[in-house]
Amino acid sequence: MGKLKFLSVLVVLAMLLAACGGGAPAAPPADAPAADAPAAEAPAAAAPSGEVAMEAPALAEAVAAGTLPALEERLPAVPFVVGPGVLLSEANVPNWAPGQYGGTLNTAHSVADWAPDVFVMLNEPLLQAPDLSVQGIQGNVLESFEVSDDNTVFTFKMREGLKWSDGEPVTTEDVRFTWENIYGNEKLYPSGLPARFRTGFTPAGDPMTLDIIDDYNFTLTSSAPYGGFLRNITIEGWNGYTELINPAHVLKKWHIDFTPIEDMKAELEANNLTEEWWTLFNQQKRCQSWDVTRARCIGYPTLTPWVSVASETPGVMIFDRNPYYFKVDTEGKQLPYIDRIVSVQVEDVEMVNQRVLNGDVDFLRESTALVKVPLYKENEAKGGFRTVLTDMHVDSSNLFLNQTFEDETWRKVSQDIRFRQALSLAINRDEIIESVYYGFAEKPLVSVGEEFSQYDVAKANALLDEMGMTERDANGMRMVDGKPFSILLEHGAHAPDLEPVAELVSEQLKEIGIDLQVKRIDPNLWTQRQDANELQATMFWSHDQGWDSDYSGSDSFRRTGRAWALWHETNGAEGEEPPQWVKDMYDLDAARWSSVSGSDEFNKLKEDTFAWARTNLPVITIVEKVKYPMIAAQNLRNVADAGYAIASNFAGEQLWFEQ
Amino acid sequence: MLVYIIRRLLMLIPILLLVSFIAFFVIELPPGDWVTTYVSQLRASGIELSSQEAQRLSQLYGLDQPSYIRYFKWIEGIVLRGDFGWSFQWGKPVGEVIAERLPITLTISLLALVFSWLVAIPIGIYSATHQYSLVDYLATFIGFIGLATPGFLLAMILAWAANQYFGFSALGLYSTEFLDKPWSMAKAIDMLKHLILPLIIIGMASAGSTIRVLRGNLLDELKKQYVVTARAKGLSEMQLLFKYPVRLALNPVFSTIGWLLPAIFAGEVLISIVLSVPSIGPLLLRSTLAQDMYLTGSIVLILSALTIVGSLISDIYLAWADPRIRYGGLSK
Repeated sequence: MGKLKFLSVLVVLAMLLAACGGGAPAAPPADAPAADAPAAEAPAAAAPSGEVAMEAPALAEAVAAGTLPALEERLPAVPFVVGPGVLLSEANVPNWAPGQYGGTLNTAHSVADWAPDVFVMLNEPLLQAPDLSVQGIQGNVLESFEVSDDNTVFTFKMREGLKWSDGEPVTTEDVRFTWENIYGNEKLYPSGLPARFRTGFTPAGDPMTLDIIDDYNFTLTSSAPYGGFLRNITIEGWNGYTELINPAHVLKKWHIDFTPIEDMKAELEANNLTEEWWTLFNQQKRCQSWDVTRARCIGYPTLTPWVSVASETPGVMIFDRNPYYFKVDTEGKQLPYIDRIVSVQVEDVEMVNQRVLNGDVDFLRESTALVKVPLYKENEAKGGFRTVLTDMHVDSSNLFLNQTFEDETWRKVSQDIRFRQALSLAINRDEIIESVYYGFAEKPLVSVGEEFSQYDVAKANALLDEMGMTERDANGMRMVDGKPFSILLEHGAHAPDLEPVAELVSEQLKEIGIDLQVKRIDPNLWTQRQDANELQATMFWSHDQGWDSDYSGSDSFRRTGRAWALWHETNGAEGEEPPQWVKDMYDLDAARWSSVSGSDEFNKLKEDTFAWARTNLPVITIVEKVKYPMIAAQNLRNVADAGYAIASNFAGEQLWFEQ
Repeated sequence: MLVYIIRRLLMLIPILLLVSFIAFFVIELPPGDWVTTYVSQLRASGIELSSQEAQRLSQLYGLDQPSYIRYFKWIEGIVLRGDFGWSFQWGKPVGEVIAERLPITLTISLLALVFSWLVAIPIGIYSATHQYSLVDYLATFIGFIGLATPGFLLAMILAWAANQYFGFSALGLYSTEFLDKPWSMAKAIDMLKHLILPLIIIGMASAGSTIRVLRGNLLDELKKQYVVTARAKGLSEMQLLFKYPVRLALNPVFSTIGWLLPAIFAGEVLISIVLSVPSIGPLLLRSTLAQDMYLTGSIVLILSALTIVGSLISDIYLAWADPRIRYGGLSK
């Protein structure tokens, strides 16, 4: 830091000299190109372009020393311009301002080789829209796109002059290589193209076809309308550019189509392999978007704002700015502003929070928790940070009843909509919001609706009586056909609120004579049981209704009708045929996938999906719009104060430290 | 003696094989494998891996093969090439992962051991020779506190106090400003400062028990006839004390050196977690939770080997120090 500051002062001084000196050779000769570059680079900048550095001082230094090409050679012809409302909407970042260079962003992670906050901050999808939505999709890594009228042909234009972090150009060869040599290789991808590149986003869908037009233009064609492909390369499932663009110039050295096996022998032997080049390729050589924090990916060419560099200290990850990053701010300054990200590994997630309290963290999202807000608040002044309460991108607790669980009585009861309505009415959401979410959540008006998110025990009882569940046992619990009726809810404690919410719901349901037993199981066992149709009921999150890039109505059938979902996945070969209302949702989802993401048609279908959810109540959502705390250093600027926390995390390149 | 040692060493082989077998298959018992853990970890961060991709990963890491095949491959690697397999979690060979954490683990464990002896042995001797004195009561009190207080609790309290009253962040091994800096004198000093707390806390726990053991044994010895005889013959108190009773009273302390071997290798798990010390203990815990099976299996195997070697060392020490044991064991 100290050294950098000194350097920046030097460079600025030199530039001032160059600008004021009237071309005097008094300035060190090496600085001339640095001063020239910004002037040439920023025609849009109304500011005194001579004095404003268009690149980080350290980079200007490297340019001056001749170790790095000038800025205009590093930026694409059309850089991505970050300004107010571009990465995050203006409503969420009302005080967006162009920043100044410098600073180290400290954070922490608790899982081996995996720093989720850094991953999200570094991730670059092919296309993007503000706030991680799909409304107003525009180019990101790709410059622009066109969709044919029938939503089948997608024409993409790449950024001319875009470079990998090692300075190599990014062209359609990288796309072709990915398509033909990675996805097309049966050793690397035994089942061929991923679902993303198949019509309707299903593994069984027709594969799309790639046509390379020239070095910077290509098309992808699907056999049926697939407008949702746009959202599929925007942010869905946290994908990044590596879905379609991989550094061919590096990977060819480890690919059998380009390199004979003898040339890989040494490396193969070092990894105790003999002929398995594909293992080496997948496990060691190729880095996908979510591999960015892995130690093995240090030095791997990327398009991310910061790149991983070697660290002398075990357990410490360091990311330095990418000199070839393709984004600039409204003044034409190359992003990111922050010099370096450092993430230290701690041995437990609790200790991440301990570091927050000690003031050792400048930014933190994934490891924070709502229950810790009082603790954060108490230590804000001492630790030099602030707690920003933003939205969570998932609705954290939903009650899922598996309507295809193997039990005839259960099926009869749970498939009756009155039963699900009664349960929803018997849940005292206000109590849960107060006690578990400290008031930072709302009733599920979108997914459950006004009527059934009320707390109305009398009405719930009436509905159950109407169903014929009038018989009660000695404890006042309802029985069905003279037998005790009990629901087993198994959850995997995937989030800290699942257990307390489930326990509260269990208590509240006793009021209407429903016996709900809560059991916590291992998360892996949970997944196994879910897939095997062995979960009767569970509690899990679903993507927030407002997050239109990920919300899907049929996704819940994995937990609310496992046999139906299986039937759909296998085209009717396995599982059970779902009733019409379930098929309706699959049709709605398919229609939404075929419409262009973010279009009026898409938005209308989204509304239809919500209406369908309110009518059929497949999932009993407990709360919506849960708040989520995010930690940011007090002098960190361009941080969102509303919207999804993860979206703010995502827009890391616009963050800067006010000195 | 030599035959005895060789025989014991040979016995190591079948025991280790059995242990490796058990270690491997116990890890296999819980549902799922590393890929399912990885998939749920990514899911928790919002990344949905398709089942296709999960399948591809399973194949890539060989997890689709039957477990006995994987077991034999793993053992073959260890025996033939000294290769402990691949750590899925860390994305590098198990050997490298362990080697990265070994120096700091050994440093802390050994220093803590020395610290605990330096504290415990003088106190133990003093409180035995000055039974029921004020110092003895004090030492007894501290000893029991050291024994009874869970180390992790002490770690939490001390870490909090260091931060609250001295503004010193005791977590991890380096201050934030040194994290991304290359090694320097300042960084080394900073690291030493961070070592103090774990040393004291880890040392305290064993110091407590050492004080009690030493005091008890020494009290027994001091009442014995030979002490009276020696004193009657006019030996000075100091010479008498250190030449015979202390030596004998220390026997139990040193004969447990063997048991300490695995503990030195693994480091303290809970205290390391609380203070974020990157030692091998938390690594084992974490790898078990993540079902990173070759890493878990290898650490368990190494720990078992050290336990066996350690008890051999104890036996040899005892056989050397106490003739009764030696002749009893070797007469056959």
